[in-house]
Amino acid sequence: MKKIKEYQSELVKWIGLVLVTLVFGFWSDWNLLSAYNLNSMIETVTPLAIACIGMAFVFAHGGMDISSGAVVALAALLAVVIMNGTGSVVLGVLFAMGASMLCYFVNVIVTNKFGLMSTITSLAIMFSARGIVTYICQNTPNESISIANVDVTMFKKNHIFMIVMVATAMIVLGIIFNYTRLGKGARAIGDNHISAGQNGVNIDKTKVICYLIAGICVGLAAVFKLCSTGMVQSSTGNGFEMDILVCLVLGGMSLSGGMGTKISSALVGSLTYVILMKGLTIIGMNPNVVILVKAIVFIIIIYITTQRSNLKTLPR
Amino acid sequence: MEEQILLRTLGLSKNFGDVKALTDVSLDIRRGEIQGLIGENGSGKSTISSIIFGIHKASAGTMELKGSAYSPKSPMEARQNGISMIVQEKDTIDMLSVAENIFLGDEKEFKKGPLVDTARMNAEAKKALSDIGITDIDVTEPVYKLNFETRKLIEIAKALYYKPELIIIDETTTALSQDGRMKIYEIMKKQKEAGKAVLFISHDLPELIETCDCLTVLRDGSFVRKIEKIDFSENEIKKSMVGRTVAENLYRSDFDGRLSDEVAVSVKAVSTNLLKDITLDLHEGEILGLGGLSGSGMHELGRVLAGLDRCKKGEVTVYGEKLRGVAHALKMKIGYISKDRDIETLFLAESIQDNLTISAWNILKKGFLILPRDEKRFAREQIDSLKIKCSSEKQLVRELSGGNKQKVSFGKLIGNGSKIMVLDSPTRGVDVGVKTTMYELINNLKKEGHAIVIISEELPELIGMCDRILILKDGEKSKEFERKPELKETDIINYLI
Amino acid sequence: MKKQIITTMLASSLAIGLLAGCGSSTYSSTSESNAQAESTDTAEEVKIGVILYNYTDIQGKEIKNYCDNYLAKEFPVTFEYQTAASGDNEAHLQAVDSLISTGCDAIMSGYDTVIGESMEKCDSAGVYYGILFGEAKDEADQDGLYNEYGNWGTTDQSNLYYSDYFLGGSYQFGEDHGVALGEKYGQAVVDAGMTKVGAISFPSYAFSDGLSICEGFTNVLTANGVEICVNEDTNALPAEAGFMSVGDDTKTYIAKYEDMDCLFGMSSGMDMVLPAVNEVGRLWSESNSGEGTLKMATLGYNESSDKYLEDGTLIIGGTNNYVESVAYLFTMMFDAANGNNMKTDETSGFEYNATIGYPTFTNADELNDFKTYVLTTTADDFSTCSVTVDEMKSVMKAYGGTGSWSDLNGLVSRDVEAVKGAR
Repeated sequence: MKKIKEYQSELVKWIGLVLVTLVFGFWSDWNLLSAYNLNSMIETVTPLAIACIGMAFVFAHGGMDISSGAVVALAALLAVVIMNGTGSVVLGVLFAMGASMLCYFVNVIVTNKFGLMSTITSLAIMFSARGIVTYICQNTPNESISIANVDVTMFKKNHIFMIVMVATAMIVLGIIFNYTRLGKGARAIGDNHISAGQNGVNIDKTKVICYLIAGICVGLAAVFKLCSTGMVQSSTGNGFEMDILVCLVLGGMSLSGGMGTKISSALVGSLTYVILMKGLTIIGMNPNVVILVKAIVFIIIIYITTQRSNLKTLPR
Repeated sequence: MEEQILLRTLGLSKNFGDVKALTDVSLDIRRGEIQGLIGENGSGKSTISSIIFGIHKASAGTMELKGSAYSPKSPMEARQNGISMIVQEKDTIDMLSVAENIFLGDEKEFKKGPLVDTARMNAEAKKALSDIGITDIDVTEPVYKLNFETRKLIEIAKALYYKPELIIIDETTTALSQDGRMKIYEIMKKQKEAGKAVLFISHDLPELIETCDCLTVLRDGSFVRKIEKIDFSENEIKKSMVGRTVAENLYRSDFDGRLSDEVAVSVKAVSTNLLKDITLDLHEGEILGLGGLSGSGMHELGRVLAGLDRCKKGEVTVYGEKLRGVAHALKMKIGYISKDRDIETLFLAESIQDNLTISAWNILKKGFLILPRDEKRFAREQIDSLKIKCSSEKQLVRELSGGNKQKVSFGKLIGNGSKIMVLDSPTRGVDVGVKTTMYELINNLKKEGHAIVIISEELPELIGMCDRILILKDGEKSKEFERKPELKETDIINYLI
Repeated sequence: MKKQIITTMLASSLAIGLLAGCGSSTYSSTSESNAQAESTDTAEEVKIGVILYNYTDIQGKEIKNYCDNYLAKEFPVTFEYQTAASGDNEAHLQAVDSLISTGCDAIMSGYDTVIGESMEKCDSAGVYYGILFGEAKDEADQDGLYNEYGNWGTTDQSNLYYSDYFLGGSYQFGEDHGVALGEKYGQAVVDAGMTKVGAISFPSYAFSDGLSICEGFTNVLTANGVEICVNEDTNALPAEAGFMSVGDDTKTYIAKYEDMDCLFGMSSGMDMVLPAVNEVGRLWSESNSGEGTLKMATLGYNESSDKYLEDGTLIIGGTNNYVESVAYLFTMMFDAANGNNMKTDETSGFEYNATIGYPTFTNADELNDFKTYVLTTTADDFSTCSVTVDEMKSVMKAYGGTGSWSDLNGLVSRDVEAVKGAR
């Protein structure tokens, strides 16, 4: 019983996931779990889950990022240019990660140096990255750049590969998040950065590494996104940052960070989110209403999570 | 009965969820009386005062104010009934000016059309401050620019502005310097002479004995006894508080002030914004006391020793190696407990285990990994050896009493093997029972060869515990005292002011 | 702790209840029809998805009207609509994905947006895919690389062109990519006695046929000695208009030629070019106290065409025959979903593109015929529309028809006169 209590919040998340699957599975006559839909959901969830897992490091230390959509676009742009130029997918992936890491590096350095709110810095990064992509795309003959003579089947259709990538990200980053000084330090900063500092956590360095991890993940997500559409255009990655937020919140992550932050929130959240969205589509909900539902779910979850943290406070 | 009863509580009880904070407490507060309220942490002092002030609502029981029923729904209502309170925590808003803070919630008094008449408000604020003898504050200045003590004084001015009949002062004096305390005593005396009443909550027994007319003792949320001034005896009171006899001398009993030859930390001509040219050596097995008033620089010196503040001039060396910041200090086995323990040292929202292990990650890690199994074992060891009262190592620190919180802070230092400990106000807000344990612990650490710095405003504590006492004044070393039995507070006080 | 569980349960039940409410209401609205299909036939229930930029302009309205109020009533078919903003490839793919998930058997895409990627999804899900207003080009195969227009993404997708599920598209402006249509417009302008003529169109990557239409247009004009207001960049017609800036680009263009007396609006002529000309006061109109001097020839039709044709502002107008486009894909898709895929049937004579008519009008009589035989929203009488149910059934094998692609192409490429004759 004590064990159950300890893992209760974890349990609630997974039960939620199973519940969503069951409800929509039943509702759609199990069409939700048809081969096509499963594959389609794997394709959608892969970039989302990878980005969420990386972003967990940023949220854990109390940071906030809304630039990921634009960063995805920029990273994808660089990836497609490099892939077309060199014919190497691997180089494309590396450059995408590099570009994304650079964006987040600038983000965290500016935030640290000038003591800005991370949201504001990420807003600036968002506009710059989106601006660059829009400018470049507008100056191409068909306002988009397609992947040319490069085989990207692996990133597009190989569902086993996708699952392996998500699992790898989850395991490797999960261990770093839970069992190393870096992950623990990041969460401690989210809780109380003064105490963290006095207890020997190098705050600036920890933040930088967290953002770089987020950068790697978002860069990888960008490659998956790029390959799924086969091209980059100015609208690439639009709304991705909000999807990440909704996923994390849906997975029960506290947006203010802290020791209680669980990286599993990223995985459970994105799975739940994708199944929810797919389920709503299958039962025939109007796409405009789906966006509204997204908003309502977001508000409800925020309400619950804030309620939950209030409950923790005992009166004196 | 010649005195008139101003406020009477009858069988007050208060539950927070399953926790009984107060059980069936009845007390009388008479006009022209300063009543002390004393008890260990968690004994219900703050709970009863916040019920009187309308912050909480009693679960059971009634109150009578001047003979008629009284049950305030909000502090505003309490204030209208002539009751004011100065709370333990910070109660001012940083970005507002002094005047705005004083009249927060009462802006309508100064309305001029749709606007607030700032000039009149400022004048009124100035008057409120001068009423309590403060004339050197610019009331238009935002509060964040002022130090903690001045902010407290502003709260006092605010509380008194309404000319309350009963004023509740909740553990305010611990935050104040001698100077500030004198002001409060003055105010209390005036209040008493005007035939009004004061309910005074404090941990400082000598202070209570000195100022109060009678003392009500609470223990575990229940009324224990009421002691009139003529029956005051420090031992008696302590006994009622803890429910057992307390050794008369809290502090260490030996007067062996000899120092070992091994110098652990050496401060060489250090200057910062506040400190001026401080030089000192800390030896192994030594307890060094740092004393002074709140602006004297003793807290800053503590931060310098912990590697948190940088020196403008001079350097700190630890076993001959120059100190380079907090991470290095931790590596050099320097442990630090801040005076703002809840904000700077602990993670209140987290478990005891997480709190204890955070400074010991380097010890616990195997390769890159820090395994939960090791963390748990480590936490259990500390909990057992320090006798931290808790349900499990997973209990949240904020649920602990002040004393147990402080034990957790100590646990961090002991756990990560600190050899040098900088303890800033280690017994602030802690009751007698826990204090004794703390002193015992510090003494044991000394015997094990730890080098310890105690920073404290409480002179008896410094005299009782330290091998050497260094008094700071305005950032400079003003006097050094050796440990000896005949050292008295009065000898030191002259060097403070 | 108990509270926590309760709030979570409460919230999830709330969320699900909410979804239930929304879900069921929209669900019923989309499946409004079809139950009473002809009982004598054995055709199976079919679901077809449609993706367009919007359903508010004349094209969107016409298509939706024809599908919902005619096809869905006469055939056991349901239509599912998705919107994808112009040029947003990600949104288009998402729409394709959603339609497949909802269980569509076939998808009609308005345009040739990301065909390769869309086909990849459709091919793996076994869903038919076709383009309403665009040509299916095997370009990836031609140069072995991706094509300049970005339609077929990468080489590995080029064989999807030959997938059983790719049903092709159509020549919207005739097999000659609009040269003849351009000549028709040119002749109308010459006949109206215009002397100095301009033309404005979308960028060629988006509207490649615009160049050939303009070519035919220019040829007739120069042969008849009409002056041309060239685009200075290319020294030829047409001037170029960005997607989002048609109005402004039009204004800039006509400002350069003060004495231009006729403008050929090829980039949504009625919806975007004409209003811009009107805004700067250059539009020819008797009711406009005769101040403006500029007459219009437009690709496109909307409700105001009547008025402008009547007062002489509009020399010639016209539009794609929406009904023919939809009827073409629908016939193939419906039959394919019933197991009679023309593409795999060697006897059908399948080709990748049908030739869809582009009906025009230059006077009131022609406009009247246009409204009667081409449009469906004006009269709401489907018995006179360009392709009727019986005509479609005569080709569908599911209803004992011929199953011939050539017959189908013949049905959907008729001009107004031919349709009129058949009614």
